[in-house]
Amino acid sequence: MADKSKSVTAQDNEDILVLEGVSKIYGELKALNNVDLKVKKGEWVAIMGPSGSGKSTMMNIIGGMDKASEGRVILDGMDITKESAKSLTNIRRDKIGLIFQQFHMVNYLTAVENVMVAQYYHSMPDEEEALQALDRVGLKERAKHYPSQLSGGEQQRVCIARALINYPKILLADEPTGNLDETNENVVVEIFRQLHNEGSTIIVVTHDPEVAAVAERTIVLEHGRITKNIINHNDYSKPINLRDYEGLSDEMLLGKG
Amino acid sequence: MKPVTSMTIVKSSLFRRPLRSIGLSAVVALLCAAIFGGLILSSSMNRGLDTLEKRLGADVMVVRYGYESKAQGAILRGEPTTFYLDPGALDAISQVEGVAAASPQIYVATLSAGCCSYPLQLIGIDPDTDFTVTPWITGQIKGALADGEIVVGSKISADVGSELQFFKRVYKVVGRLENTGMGFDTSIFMNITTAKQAAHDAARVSSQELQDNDDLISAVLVDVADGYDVKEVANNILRAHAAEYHLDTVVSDNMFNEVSSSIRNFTSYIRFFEIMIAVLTVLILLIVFSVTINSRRAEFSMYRVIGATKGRIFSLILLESFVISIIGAVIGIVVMSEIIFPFSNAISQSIGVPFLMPSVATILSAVAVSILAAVICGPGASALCAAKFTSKEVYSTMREVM
Repeated sequence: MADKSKSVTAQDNEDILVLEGVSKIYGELKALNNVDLKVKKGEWVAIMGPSGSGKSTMMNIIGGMDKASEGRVILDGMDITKESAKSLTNIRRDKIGLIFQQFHMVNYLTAVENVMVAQYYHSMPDEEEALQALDRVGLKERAKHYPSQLSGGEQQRVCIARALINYPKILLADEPTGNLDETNENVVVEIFRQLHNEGSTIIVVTHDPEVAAVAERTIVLEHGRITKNIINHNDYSKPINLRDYEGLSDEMLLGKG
Repeated sequence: MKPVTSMTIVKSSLFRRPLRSIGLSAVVALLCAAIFGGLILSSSMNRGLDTLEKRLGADVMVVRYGYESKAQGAILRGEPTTFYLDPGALDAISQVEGVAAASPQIYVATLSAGCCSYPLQLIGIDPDTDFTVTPWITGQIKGALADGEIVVGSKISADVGSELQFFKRVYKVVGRLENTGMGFDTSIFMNITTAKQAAHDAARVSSQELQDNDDLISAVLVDVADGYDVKEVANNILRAHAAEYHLDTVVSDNMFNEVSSSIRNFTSYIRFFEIMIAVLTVLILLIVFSVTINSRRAEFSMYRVIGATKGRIFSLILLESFVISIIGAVIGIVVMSEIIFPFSNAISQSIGVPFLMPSVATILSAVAVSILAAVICGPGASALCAAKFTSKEVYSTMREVM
């Protein structure tokens, strides 16, 4: 694997996200148990782990959709642990772009309107900019189509455009390829590569070892704890084809390797 | 392209989900129609009652024994009838203590007329002694009613200056009365000489004979002198002359009270059904809006995820239900108007009480109250559901829909 091609600046070395001793406790259950994590600006991190390992909980806490029971979450230099629900909404709006496995497009709005609605709740809708965002994910020609007229892969690409439209500090993707076929999986991962090369910080929660392997770093969660921190040496100067990636072995993921 | 705003989001939601939008509007329309219809019906009947009181004019109506209900039907509901009274009764009644004035009237039912598809009531009045109808037709015509001239009720389609034909005889329309909500609206007034002629025409057509052309009368209307009790005077008339002239009396207070009681009962039923429908509709609205918002959790959760505050979600839901409620309210009011206004005669006849359309101001008030009820109930129901929904953390609503 080759080195990363993108240029690294002093600012890139700053941590955009810091988790310090974060726990999430539901009664007797510790969904997250004293997790420490640092993510640098522009870094592409994959979070893996079996079901119930705490991946989604971690994503919800990072994304300001849930609060940690213990510890601190520092996002873009701001401790969001004690923020109110309203403040967390503003943080989500201004700093985070969210992508989900089920797409969650608004089904009575067109593709471009789905992007513009994110602008509307952020500041001011700008159709030209929304079309540019769709163009970036290769869907400008499908801007006037409704979700029912788009394939799963196209819907996910619209969601990526929507997540990017307000220039978030972090792109958080929860199983973004979980509902896609191999072709569309490649398209989405390729978009991530381009975004990464442009300096976006990407955190991807995934079950797919191949998708995890294309990230710069893979975090493995088990029983609410980080058990592995794997550095992947990928060449991001060329388009990614997941077929070229063997993925992370079970041994690597489960800490036996 | 149109800019994305809360209103465009609501419009897209409504137009892209027509069945849901129509269903919700229909429920609101039902509520509005019930409230609007109830208000219009009750105020129509109350107005009819007021007019009845004003227009009845006489304190006592004396008719031939057995014809009191027909006389009431003719006055209240315009049910055409023909009946006669021994003409000697007029002078006899005039002599009874407490009678300040007595005036004869003739009631003749037509078979059909060019103006109308149903029989009409012809009422002959004596211009020299009448104190009941003349005061309120005076403004409609110049001078007294001449022979062959008629004044028509408000619901008879004949213009002033036109001619109507009954029993093959032509009459000239010289006036039209304002709406009373009573049988007078489908009645035709003429002087007693003309009415006698009509009575003979009617008898000829129906192959019956009338005894005395000159003294023909159907009823005597009595004005009771001040200081006398109306019921007492009516009893005096019966005691003195009932046996000789086969009389019966209709006391206006009794008739008024009877009608008033009917209206009170009917308006109570209306109120009851109105409340029942309103309560049921509010419950249905709560359930329907709750189900609707529940089915749209993914959408609202997504809005929250991309940065919409609870307040903006709340206002989006309220705006949509407000638009639905306004549409439903307008539909409900229009549909109920299409039922009530064209069929007011049929409604009046079926419920057997005077029915007078309320004033424009009252109708506008009913419209305002109905719309207000709709925009309180619809958005109110959705506000409750929205409050429940937005009180949850984003992650939990997202998790529910994933």
